[in-house]
Amino acid sequence: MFGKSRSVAVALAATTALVLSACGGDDGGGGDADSDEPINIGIIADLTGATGDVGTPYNQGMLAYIDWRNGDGGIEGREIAAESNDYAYEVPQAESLYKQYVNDGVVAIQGWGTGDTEALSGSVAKDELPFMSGSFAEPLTDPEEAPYNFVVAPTYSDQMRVALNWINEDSGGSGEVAVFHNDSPFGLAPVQDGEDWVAEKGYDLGYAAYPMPGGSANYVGLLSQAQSQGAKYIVIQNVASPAALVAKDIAAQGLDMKIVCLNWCANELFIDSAGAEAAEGHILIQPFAPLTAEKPGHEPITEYLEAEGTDPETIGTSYVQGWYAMHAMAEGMEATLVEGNDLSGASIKEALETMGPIDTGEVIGGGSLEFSADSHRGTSSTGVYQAQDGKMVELEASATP
Amino acid sequence: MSNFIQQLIYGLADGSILALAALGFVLIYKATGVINFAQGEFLLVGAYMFYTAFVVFNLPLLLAVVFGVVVATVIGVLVERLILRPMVGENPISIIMVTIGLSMLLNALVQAFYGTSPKSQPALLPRSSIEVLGATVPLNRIFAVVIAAIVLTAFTIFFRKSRHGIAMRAVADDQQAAMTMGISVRRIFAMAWALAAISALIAGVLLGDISAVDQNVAAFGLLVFPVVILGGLDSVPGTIVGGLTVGLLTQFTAGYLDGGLATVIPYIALVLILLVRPYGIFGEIRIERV
Repeated sequence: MFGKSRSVAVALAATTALVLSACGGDDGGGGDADSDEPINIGIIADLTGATGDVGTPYNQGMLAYIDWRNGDGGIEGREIAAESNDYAYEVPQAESLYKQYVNDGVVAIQGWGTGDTEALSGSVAKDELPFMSGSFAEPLTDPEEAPYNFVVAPTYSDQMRVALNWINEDSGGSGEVAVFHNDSPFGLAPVQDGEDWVAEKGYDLGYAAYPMPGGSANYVGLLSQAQSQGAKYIVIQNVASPAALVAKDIAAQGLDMKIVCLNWCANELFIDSAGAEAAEGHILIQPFAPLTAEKPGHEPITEYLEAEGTDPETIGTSYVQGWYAMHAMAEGMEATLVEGNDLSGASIKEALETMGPIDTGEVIGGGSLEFSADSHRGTSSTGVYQAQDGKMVELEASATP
Repeated sequence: MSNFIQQLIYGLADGSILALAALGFVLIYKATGVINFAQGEFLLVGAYMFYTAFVVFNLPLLLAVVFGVVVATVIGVLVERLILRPMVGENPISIIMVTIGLSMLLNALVQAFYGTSPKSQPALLPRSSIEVLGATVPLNRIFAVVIAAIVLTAFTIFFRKSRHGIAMRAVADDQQAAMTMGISVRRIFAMAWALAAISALIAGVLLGDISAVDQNVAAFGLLVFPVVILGGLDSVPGTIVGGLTVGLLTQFTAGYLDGGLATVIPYIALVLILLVRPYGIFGEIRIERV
């Protein structure tokens, strides 16, 4: 017979494993072209999960845009009625929310992560619901594979290509690159495409990928492996906290290494968490211009924030991303109604594919997004920034692969 | 060689913090028989309480530490009084589920009050580095080891020499006998939770200083489970051995093998230890004759 401690130990191990493993509706939301009913959309947000640090401001940015747009007369006189719920970065929870939104009769959905966006891709195609998200994974741009997914920024792969172009130039045409990535579909999304790009361009760059252990208190182990590789450049595909820890470790070790952050760690959170000194000089591949860049497209955001009594200086890039993701969707809806079409998922999709450029006031890369029936890649252009004196300083406004 | 030394010191620093976190877990289990799945969240709450005092209220360092200790003690006592005491006599699985619920509650409260963005706080420990046998080692890691060693030593002396410590050991050994000797078991239970919260606070503050004050603190705290399985659920020396072993194992795996494997290696160790020594290295083996 087991004793008490042994039974308890076995129960503890089993419960630990449990905890670790846990770690088509009506058209009510769309309707006729001359309807004045609110336009229903669903938002699947990560507010409390692994990417909540950027998911929360992204969600706030979307809701702020909706509030601003409704206050400005809505879309052709119709208000946007958005339901936003937290899915804590858990794919099953996203699927459950998706079903709920379909039953609620939404006409479009804003999602978040790569894992859930890819998991829902087939469902949104079947249910004919346009889907934009915080995931910029390459497969989502192909209408053959994902007919109802629209990517509102350069893909992670395009960002990786821009990063590698920059590294190739900065290194004088020869060097070693270590890619530190979140060990998830999001983290892995650009890894192979980056390696392919090095081969395709004939760059003399070594390239190796390293998954980043979650919940780690340091990344010295990975950095020592990168050192053994001879890497002077660390491309990071992860959120800000772990990237900041890498920057701190590089500073503490006095290593001659430059971080090149992609999208979700290329933000103010990275600089604030690492500290201005540790962040100094690192490169940030950020498709959405931060408010400090003062682009024309920032004006409605700053006006809205000031009207709300919020200091724009407290607002980060992820908020801007959310605002303009929602803007792209709203513009598609407006184009549908302007054309005199009923507001349905299929008609919004068609409008997005045929309406031409969506102006973002120079906030996203080259300034505008454009989709077509052949490509749902909104843009391949991104800004390149450098951390200088605790700020994101623009090196290039519109870099393309 | 220098790389080995570097990984060794980083692993020891992480392991020391883990030992502190696991100490709270063992205290609660020894005194009350409760397996606390909210230990990681106790680290999280501790880190944020100190951040509140030090950054939000702008208190001097010593006052901020005192504030943190007081709040941790209050939280520990309240948890025991309001949540665990009504569960006395229930089966272990029910109590485990309650502590899982508690972990979610604490996590949600932290997010509700502080949001999900990492918080910046001034460095508490020196950020400069020194050379140790050719390896560059930040002083904050060495300080973390030293502070953890001092706290663990203080706790050990407390259990062996002080009246309250001896009373706690008596309750852990035999509650009925302790009660007949006039020891208040309820008070000992409350003290166990309070001390667990204080050790978690210290671990959380150290972790917050060397990495960041954010949700990852709780994720790091989850590693207490392999630590206590390795060292023994009811062994204070076991937390030190277990903590250092898990810290080193994770660090060397990340440094020499694979980052992905480093995430799961503590749990592989957990399973292996359960297979060969189900009571842990220092755990008490209870033989029941039926």
